[in-house]
Amino acid sequence: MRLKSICKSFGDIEVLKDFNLNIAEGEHIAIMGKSGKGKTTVLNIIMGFEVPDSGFVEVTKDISTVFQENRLCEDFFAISNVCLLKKNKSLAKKILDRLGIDSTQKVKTMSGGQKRRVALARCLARNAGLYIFDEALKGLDDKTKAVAMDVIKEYTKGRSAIFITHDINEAKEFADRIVEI
Amino acid sequence: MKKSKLHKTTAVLLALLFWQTAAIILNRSFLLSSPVEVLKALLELGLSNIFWTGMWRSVCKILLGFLTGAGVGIFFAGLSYRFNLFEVYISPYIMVIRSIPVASFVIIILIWLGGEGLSLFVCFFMVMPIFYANTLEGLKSVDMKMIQMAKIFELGKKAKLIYIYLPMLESFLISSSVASMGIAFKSGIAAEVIGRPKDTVGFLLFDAKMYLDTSKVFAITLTVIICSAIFERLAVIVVKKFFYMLKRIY
Repeated sequence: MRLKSICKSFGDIEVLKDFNLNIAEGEHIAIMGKSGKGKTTVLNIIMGFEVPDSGFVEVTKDISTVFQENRLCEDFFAISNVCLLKKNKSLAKKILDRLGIDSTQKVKTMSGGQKRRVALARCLARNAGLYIFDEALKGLDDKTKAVAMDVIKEYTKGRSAIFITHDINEAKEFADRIVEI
Repeated sequence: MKKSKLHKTTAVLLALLFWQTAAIILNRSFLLSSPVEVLKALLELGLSNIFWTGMWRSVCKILLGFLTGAGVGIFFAGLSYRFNLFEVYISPYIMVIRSIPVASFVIIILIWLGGEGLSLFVCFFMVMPIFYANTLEGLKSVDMKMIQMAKIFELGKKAKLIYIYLPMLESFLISSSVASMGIAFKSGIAAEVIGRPKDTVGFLLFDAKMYLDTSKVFAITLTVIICSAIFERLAVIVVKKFFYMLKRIY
């Protein structure tokens, strides 16, 4: 994955100026930076939701992500949210079990932390070339965070991944390289 | 009995008492029949075959008009959501249908198609724009972030429909059903009164009016109100059941 000389402004506000990012196959990177520095804009450009004002973008189409918000189908069961009509039920159930989530529970009856783990399971159940985690462990307690981090590392082994966080320890634990914005 | 239920019952009893008193004071049965007279007329109607045949025919036509109107309204809303140009080109027709008075509709359909399918067509044209507008509003209120999620996780058309669009439409379809079922009954019966197709509730209503049989007019009206309320409730139950099953299956 390669972003070269990316510039992006919203009105008069210049969010990204001559931004470069390369991720080798199988490499894990963490992006850190203060709020409003353009971390989410970078992700939106990678996922194709935003078009840069200038610069070059080269990304795989197989992307899986944990969005900053959960973006779950609240009225449905956890397992349905992970499978989304795809035939990966056993894998979905396995990941949900690992994350301590009852696959038959409806999402709308879950706590914030449980919902976050369902969003994480949905991301990991997809066979992707690039995984993006936008503050994926937000709202989890330390014990659950540790379990979730193990599961993330296990399922993204050998695949490229971007981990956005404000926590330097999380970044160090997950990434081969830390990028500051 | 709960306090609110007690108040409701008292309110109904008071209204009946007020009605009975007004009928006694007025003492003109053809102007205002008393509740007792209406009850008698209701029992007489209940024993008459003509009434039940009329009721059956009218309700069938109204429900058929309601269902086709709802179906076409939802389908057109889907097309409008998918193709912007379709929305632009259909909007004048929808606007005209929404603004034409029921009486004008009835006369136009009478001239074009005669009295037989009158209430069906009138109901269709009354219900369709309501479902169209509500469904389209529901579709437009789908969160863009969920559409982005669908794109990233490569959701197929069926999955998008089940997990994103249909749940968003639930409340809009319930409110459409509630709003349009009452309108369907009102406009359908009004159409029958004007067009007077034989063996229908509208025909019986017009007949009762001709003979100044006010108690019969009241009794028929009461039956229509009850019918409308039952089917309104039924429509809501059907929509809720559909979404309940959808969320259980998937």
